[in-house]
Amino acid sequence: MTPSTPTLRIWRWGVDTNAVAAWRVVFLNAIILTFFVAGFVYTLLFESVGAYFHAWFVFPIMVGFAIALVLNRVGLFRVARIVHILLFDGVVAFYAASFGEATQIHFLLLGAITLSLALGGEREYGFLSIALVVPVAAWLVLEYFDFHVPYVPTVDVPPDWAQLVSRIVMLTTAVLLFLSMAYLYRHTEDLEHDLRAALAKLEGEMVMARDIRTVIAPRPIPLPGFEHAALLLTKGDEGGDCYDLIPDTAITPEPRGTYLLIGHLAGQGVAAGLAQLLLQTTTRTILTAQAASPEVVELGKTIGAIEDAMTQPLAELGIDEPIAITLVRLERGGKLSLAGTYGALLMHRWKRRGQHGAVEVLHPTRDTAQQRDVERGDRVLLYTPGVHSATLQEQPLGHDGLAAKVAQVCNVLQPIDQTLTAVRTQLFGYQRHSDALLLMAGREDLFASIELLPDWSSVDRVREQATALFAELPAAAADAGLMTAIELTENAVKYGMGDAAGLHPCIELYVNPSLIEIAVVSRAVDPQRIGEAQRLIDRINTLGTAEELYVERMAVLAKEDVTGSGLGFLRISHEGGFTLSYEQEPDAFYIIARRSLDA
Amino acid sequence: MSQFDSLSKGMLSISARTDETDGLVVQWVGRSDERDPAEFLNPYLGKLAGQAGKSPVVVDFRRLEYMNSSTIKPIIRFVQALAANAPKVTVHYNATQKWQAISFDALRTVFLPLKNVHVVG
Repeated sequence: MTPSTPTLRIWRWGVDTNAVAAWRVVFLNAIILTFFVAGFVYTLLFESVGAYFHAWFVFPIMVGFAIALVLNRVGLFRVARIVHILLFDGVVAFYAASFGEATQIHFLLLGAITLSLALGGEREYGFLSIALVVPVAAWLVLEYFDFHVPYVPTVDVPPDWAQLVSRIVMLTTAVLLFLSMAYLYRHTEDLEHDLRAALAKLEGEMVMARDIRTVIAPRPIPLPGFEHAALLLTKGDEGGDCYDLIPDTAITPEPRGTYLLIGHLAGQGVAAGLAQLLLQTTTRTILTAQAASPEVVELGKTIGAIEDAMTQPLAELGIDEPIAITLVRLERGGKLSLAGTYGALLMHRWKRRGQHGAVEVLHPTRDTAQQRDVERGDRVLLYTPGVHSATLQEQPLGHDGLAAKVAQVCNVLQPIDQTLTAVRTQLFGYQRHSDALLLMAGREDLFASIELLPDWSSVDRVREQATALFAELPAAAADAGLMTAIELTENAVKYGMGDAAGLHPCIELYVNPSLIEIAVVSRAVDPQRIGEAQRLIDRINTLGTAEELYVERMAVLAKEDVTGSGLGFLRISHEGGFTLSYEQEPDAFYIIARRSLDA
Repeated sequence: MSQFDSLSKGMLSISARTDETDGLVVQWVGRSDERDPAEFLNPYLGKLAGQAGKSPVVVDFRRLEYMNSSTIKPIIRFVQALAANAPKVTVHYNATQKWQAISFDALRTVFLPLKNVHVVG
């Protein structure tokens, strides 16, 4: 339920806090009082020189003012405000008409002061300045054109009576205005008190809601076969986005996949927090139940089951909007399934070219799960509408805009959390209109891609990367991997060149629990060298071992004065235990070395 | 002060000293991964082989962390040059390092015709 905050309604035009609003009410009335006191003084001055008595208008003004008070009391603050302004107009117009230039100048000055306050950002005074300036200015214009509006009828009374009545009326007016001011001030205090109580209650709920969101925020748990990072940017304490990470081990002893859930729930305060908690619990319960099934349940059916289970509890929490969720299943081999009712998924493909790959945006549907294969180096980014609907100079970011920004920063050499931080940096300056959730995942395989510039420092860079990448491997495998990476790098730097497009040779290092793979892509290589490499690799593979060729080559080196050692591939195969293969494309030649880690 | 020059290039250093028991001891330390190690190894090792004369020589690779394939040819040439004059050339390697074990096993085969060369792991 939305707490009642009545004073916010009246002062929403420019006042942010209730305390300020209260003081403005007081100040407004003080200005009214000033006018009346000024009018009283003027009346006395004019009477002293035998002028007519003009104070009769005070009575209708008083009535109008009383109406404004009643309107305030019943909560029609905006109407009361308009009545206030009209009363100002009436008072000002009458004084301006009745008391000549001095009064007109008086009001014009006050109008200028209030106008300057209005221009300074105090919008409340804009109305006041209009109320002061417009009637006087109108009067002056009319006089300039020699158009005399008949003065308000005056009452010709004996001077003694006039003086007495005038003073009684004006004094009464002053007293009533003081009283009304005191009443308004008191009334505002009451409203402020009510508001503070309502805000305190609301704040308590918000704190609890924040606590709930903190409690249900997933811990950085490992997802088998995948690494991930999440970023939730909240817009306020109302409802919003939530997510959950559910490793298959949490729901079934049989690995079926890892689940990523993102959801958007309406609601406010505790209700929103409870709804998010409910969504997580419901999803886990349903996935656990489905895991007992002998067959893998279609993801769309899981979405339907979650929606069905959530409908009634959400209604009881007073949340009428339908639940919006996206569910992703990531299987160990890299297979991705996506289904849901909202949100989007962005896949950044890493391509073996030393270049950034393509970016694909997938929109989940409820009924049919979409399937993709997540290859090594690929990044999957799940995000909620709060991300792509963010605006910069009123232009929404959009899916394509986000894809372009992700492509700029997605670097497989970076840890995934750093990549996500880089994505966030790209979004600086964009104004979010709701919560924004970014959840990035990628295969856990260790992977490095290094561009090989045509200088020997590339060897050091590869050594550094390979040493770090192979650090967790058994020493023999790590040494073999390092030697292979360096030998392939040395070959690529010596004989590979940049192509016409400016692409340099590139080496990729890849490790998973059962395999080391090192691939080097060379460009613009001498066809004769390519032929030699192909023949040697073919020969090694035909023999099944490089030992004989290795020793044979050593003997050649011992006997003959040959150029180069020609030992690189033989070492990789014989010393390193790697299997070599090659692939050729029109503009690139790949040499791939693989070594099993299963033994 | 040693009468033999030492060599330091990149991450590789080679020192030579005489030892009463072993004769000339040549120790390799660090990594040999320069683009063309023959450029600086051949002159240095050639001079060292000439200085060794007819004394026994120990070539110790046990503290060599890595060598690229381009280093192997200068090593073969060095050992061959030493074996031509020295009564005994002993090559020490670290058998617990797989790459050294495989490389020097192969070198042992290469050096088999040289009866005064012993490869010890």
